Amino acid sequence: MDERAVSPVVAKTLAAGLAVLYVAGMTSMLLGGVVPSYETGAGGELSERVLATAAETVETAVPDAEGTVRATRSVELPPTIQDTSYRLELVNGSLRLDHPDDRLDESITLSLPAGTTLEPGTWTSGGEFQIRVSGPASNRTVTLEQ
Amino acid sequence: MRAQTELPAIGIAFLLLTVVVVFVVGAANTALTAAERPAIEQQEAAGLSDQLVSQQASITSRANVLDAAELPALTASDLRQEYDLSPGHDARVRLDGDPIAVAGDPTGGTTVDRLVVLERRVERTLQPAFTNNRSVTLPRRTPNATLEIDPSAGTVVRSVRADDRILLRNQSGLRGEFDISLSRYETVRLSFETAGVLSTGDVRIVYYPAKTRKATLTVTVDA
Amino acid sequence: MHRAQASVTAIEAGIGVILLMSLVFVFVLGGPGAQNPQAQTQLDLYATDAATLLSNEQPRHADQTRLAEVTRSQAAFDREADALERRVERILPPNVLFQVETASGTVGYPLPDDVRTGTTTVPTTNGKVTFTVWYA
Repeated sequence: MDERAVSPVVAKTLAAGLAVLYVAGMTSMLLGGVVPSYETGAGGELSERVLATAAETVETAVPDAEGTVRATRSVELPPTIQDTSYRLELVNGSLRLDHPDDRLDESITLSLPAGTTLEPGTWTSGGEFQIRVSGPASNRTVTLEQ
Repeated sequence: MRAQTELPAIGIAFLLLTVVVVFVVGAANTALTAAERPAIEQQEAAGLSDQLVSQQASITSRANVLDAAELPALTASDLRQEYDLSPGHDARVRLDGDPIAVAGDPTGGTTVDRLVVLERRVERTLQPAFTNNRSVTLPRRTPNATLEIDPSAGTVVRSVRADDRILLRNQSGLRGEFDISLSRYETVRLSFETAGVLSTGDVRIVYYPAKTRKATLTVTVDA
Repeated sequence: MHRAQASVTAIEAGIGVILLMSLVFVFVLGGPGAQNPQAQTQLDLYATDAATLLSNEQPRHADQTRLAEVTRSQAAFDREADALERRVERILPPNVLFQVETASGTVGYPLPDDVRTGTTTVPTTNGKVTFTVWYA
């Protein structure tokens, strides 16, 4: 009976200690290596989708009607991507998403009817994304509003 | 001697767990890449196709009606300049599967289908007999027509009306070839006011009805 | 008598692995939310195209366009409803079903409850017309 290897208390403590070590090791390995890359991937998806929604709002805001129009269209965009606020810039025929993490920057060219002028502007996330369209049919002006 | 510790069993259990974790991470990776939604490609494809079928496009004569004469003239530079294709993205436009224009080299990418009607103008000639009256109704709608008025001796054509609208008038007589524009929404009745009798061969009308067939315009954008 | 004792730990480990695997397979094979998002855009475009083609089409009789003609009055609708249905059927691709709602009545197929649809609404001189399309 004295040839027991180790007493049960010690055996269970060893087992518990091993389990804790294992879990801690796995968690740190996952959190350090695998999870951040997924976060960036998800952030990239989100920024793409945010930009596509914003571009769609701008494109549908410009009406086909004749005559002078004055219309405002707004959409709710997420206040942060990956816990940081971002900016949308209307420049030169395209809409750009500017994020502090440069891997999440995106840009899309807007499909607008001929004769539409885009006023360069910037919108910071946090509020509603508003687009104002005004002007006669030959020269519609699109402005970003906060 | 009984095994007093379960350490080997615990070791095997941890091994199994590690294998499972590796498998789970791989599966999550697959799931994430499978769920990738190319939102920007989709938005671009929808926007580009909207511009291609809109009324102001150069390849259409009306909204969603493609002009068969203008369609082959669509080039890659048209896609980039007139139709606002992004500089970094490639696109391909097909009609019923046949490629019309390709900008860059789109492999994969997102595709949208638009339902369109392909319209071509054909030419028809009509020489009315004028048996009972001095008017003729064109059998098809046409936006314009060419009249060749060559009355025989003794007949003078004073004016031509479309429905009740006066198109051509000349008191001393109309003679020659005239291009007239008509309503594209209704068939028109042309009446001739003459001094004298009209017979077959005095007036020849060349008109341009449309022949349409339905088609699908496929737009693919690769970001 | 020496009987081997089944190691409970091994059994526990086996059950744990089965549980984890089943959870993983739920995500891998795709839960009910995994649908094709492009289908929504395509359906909306089909509806818009059908509406545009009908709005600009030359009517069979007098009114400005085929849609305006159909919505002009209840009698006009009853007369033209079949022609409208056949025309929409010809415009849309074969695997797409549709329903057209006007103030005077509805033509098309009955709308199923749980299916993804694309819709568009067109204002005409005689009221609104709503097109709904879905994949068969």
